[in-house]
Amino acid sequence: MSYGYKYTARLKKLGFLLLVTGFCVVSFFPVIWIALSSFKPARDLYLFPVKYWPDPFTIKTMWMYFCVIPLAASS
Amino acid sequence: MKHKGYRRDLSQGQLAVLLIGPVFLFLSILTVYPMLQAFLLSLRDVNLLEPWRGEPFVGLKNYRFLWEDSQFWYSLRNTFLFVIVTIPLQTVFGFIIALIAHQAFRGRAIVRAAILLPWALPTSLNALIWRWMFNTDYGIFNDLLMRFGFIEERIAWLGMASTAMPAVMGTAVWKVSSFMGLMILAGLQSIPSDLYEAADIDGASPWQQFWRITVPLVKPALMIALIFRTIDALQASFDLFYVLTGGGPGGSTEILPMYIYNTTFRFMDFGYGSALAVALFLITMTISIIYLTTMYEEEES
Repeated sequence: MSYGYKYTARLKKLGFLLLVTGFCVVSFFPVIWIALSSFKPARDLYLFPVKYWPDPFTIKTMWMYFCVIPLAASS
Repeated sequence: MKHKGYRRDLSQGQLAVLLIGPVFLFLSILTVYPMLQAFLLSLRDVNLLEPWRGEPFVGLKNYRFLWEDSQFWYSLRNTFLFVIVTIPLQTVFGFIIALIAHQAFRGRAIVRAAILLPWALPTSLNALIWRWMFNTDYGIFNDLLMRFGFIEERIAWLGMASTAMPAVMGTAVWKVSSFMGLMILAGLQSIPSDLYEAADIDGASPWQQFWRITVPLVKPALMIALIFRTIDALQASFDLFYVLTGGGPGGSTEILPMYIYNTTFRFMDFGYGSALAVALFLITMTISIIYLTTMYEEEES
């Protein structure tokens, strides 16, 4: 009886954990993906199958945005 | 220095007028005047592409044309379809999100940040991210579905009438469920815990506690969230549709606000555009009144 109760409690905890993890993944994924994409070389953005991890890791787009484009550069 | 001559006591009514007056004036200038102006414009034939015609008074001609305009009914159908599908989904997901965030567990701060994130990002930025994810050639959805073997060929999510609307709806549900979650969470936090303790002692199951305690006590917060969301979905989903699909393909995702925008600012037909805007205003107001009446009736009962 006690074993069954413990088993159900653990199952509930696991279900809750899965729900929380799933929610966090769905919520964060688009933003994390777009953030990772900002560190990819431009040609890698248009690849299929998609390269998820920036390799090579570059800050060129960030540099372009903050230093070259007048919108964000201090000029 | 005392100005004895100017000093006098105000009655409650006078004080109310003095305090409400500026707000009333402010609202009149910002809200009532533009609405009145839009209504007056809708009674005229104003097309800036043909300025030599002037602005003749045409009475209700624009409204008669609206009644017979199939594009108006089609965009209205799309708008209602969007509202009818997304609002219940957002409410259900919002409830789940709120129930998760209401639990005490390690890492709750991360979950609460996850709730805020989709809502905190501007809609146009969200739409840009999702447009990229739905892209046919290098989008992440096609990539994931092909990797897991669900599809064999790439799908033009935003390029087909059958998938474009569900794609926009999915984006809206992702973004707005968090807002519903926050509103419901506020309602959940106002429920005294002793009600649940009493229900536990009486032998009520969690399911019964949810339907008999949680749902009725969260209802006021939920109704306010629903009013906000419905008005928002009817009127302010323009940016989401505009960035994601632009109303396409073939007008299949053209909602009423987008039709108003196109009529007014692309075809420069300000008269008919104003008539459409007035129609949308009346529809939104009718729905809001129904919501509010239901809410007050339930509160009184």
